[in-house]
Amino acid sequence: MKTIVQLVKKDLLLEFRNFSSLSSVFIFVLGASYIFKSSFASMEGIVWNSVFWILILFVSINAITRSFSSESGDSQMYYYQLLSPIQLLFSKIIYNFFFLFFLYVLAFLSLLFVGGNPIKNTSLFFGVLFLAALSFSFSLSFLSGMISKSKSGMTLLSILSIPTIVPILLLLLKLTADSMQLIQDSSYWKDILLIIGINLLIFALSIFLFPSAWKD
Amino acid sequence: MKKYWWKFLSLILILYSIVFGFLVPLNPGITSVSNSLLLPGEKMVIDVKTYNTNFSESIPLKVWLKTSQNYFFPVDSIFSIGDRNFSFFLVIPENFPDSLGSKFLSLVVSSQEDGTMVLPDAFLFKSEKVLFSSSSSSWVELKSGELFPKTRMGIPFRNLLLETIRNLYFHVSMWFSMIIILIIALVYSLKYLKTTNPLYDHKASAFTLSGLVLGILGLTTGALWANYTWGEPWSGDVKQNMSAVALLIYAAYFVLRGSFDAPDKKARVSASFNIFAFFCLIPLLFVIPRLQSSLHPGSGGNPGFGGEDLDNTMRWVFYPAIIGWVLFFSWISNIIWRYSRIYHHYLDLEK
Repeated sequence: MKTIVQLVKKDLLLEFRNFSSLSSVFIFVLGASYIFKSSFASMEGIVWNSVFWILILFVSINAITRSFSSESGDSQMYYYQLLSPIQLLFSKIIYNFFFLFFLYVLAFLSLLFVGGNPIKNTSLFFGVLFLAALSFSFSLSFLSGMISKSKSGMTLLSILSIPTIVPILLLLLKLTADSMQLIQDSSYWKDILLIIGINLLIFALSIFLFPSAWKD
Repeated sequence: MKKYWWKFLSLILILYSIVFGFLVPLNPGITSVSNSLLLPGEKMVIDVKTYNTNFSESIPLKVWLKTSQNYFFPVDSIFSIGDRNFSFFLVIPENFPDSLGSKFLSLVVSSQEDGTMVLPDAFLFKSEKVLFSSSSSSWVELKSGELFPKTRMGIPFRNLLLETIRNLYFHVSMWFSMIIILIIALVYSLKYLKTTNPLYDHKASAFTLSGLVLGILGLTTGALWANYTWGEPWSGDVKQNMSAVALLIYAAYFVLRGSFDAPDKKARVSASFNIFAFFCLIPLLFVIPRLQSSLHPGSGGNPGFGGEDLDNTMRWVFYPAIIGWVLFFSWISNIIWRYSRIYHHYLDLEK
């Protein structure tokens, strides 16, 4: 547990030390929001919702690509001697979760700035953001760890991850539409349970599969 | 030669499912009635069109209107009987025997030559007041033996589906066999992770390729079917979308394999991803579509697969078709993994 906290701290420190990933994502979010603002005359309801999730999708993939491949082969070797793969995966998941949640709030704020606030049920909306950060950090950390030793990093991650996260994304999209009262769905807890179930499944799979994929 | 009996069996079963799937006729059924709104007390002539029937003046023909509570109203004056159509003159009764049930009436036609056929909810009995009189003798309960039994072998007649019900032999059996083939691939991937024997990696990737091909075939036959029954090949149904996503995950498996140089690393990562993909496939195909509204049977309150839609005649083709496809694609997978093994062996010699 202590090791995991140390690793998360190290990742945070690295992030703030060179700012490269954070600033690139930041610029991406702002630029994309500006383009959306210029191309849609008014961003309300459905447009806001779909634009937001497209932004989230690419921000997540952009941010998580670096989480394993930013480290050189030597440091991976070092980790391999020092820690169990599960510890490493846990630290990445925890770090990515906070990082993604921060980015989602950033994306939300920048869309708020350019497109106004269509959200009626704020607690549901932030609950969904929390759930989104959780599910994407589970699946994307696992996938990026798995492909960290391949020749092509970024493209491969988007090829692997988009089909994996699209079903969850569609459910989340439905939930935020609910929070903006675009649709009336009283049984949204069923979708939330389904997302939690999928996350548990992916989590269990990654605990089981990551050690063998990480082996060198 | 004795060793390869199952390859011949696969060809025989596929041939059998194609031949019998297309040759066994559809049961006789009613396709349409000319007027579906009944006003009590009125008199009207109703034309009925049927399918695969051989009516004629000389063969006994009985017609009833039926309520959901199994009260029957016999129709006497049947005229102008052709092969696949007849008309009857109907004096619509004043009373309706069924105060609780829906006011929908089914049409029941029974002929000595063709057996009994039903058009569910053919008519709507339009009446403001609830009418029930026990003294009325026009509505009867049917005694057993009054309906003529089925006379020929045939597959179920379903409105909307009609002849396309035969696609069940291809579409559904292909998805079933895809699941079985992918389970075989999953087992080989697990075996690889346990033993790191490269043979299992070749086998796993070959079976995954076959499974992917079967999945694409299943998607294509499904789109063909949807074109005739749902009106368009791709209607954005949940199950359609989710199966396309599942196939994309499996396609990503091959992209993943292509991006590693070292064979052992490639084998290990792709075995892990194959297991991951299979456990994504199961919720995508069987959990999410059941929780949302889908046009497919078995989800969104639709009745599940089987039951009335899959009678014994269809089972005799459907199950052999699954076995046939599984054996055939296992055969193809065997050829693929042998080829890839020889190829890798040759490359190793070159180095």
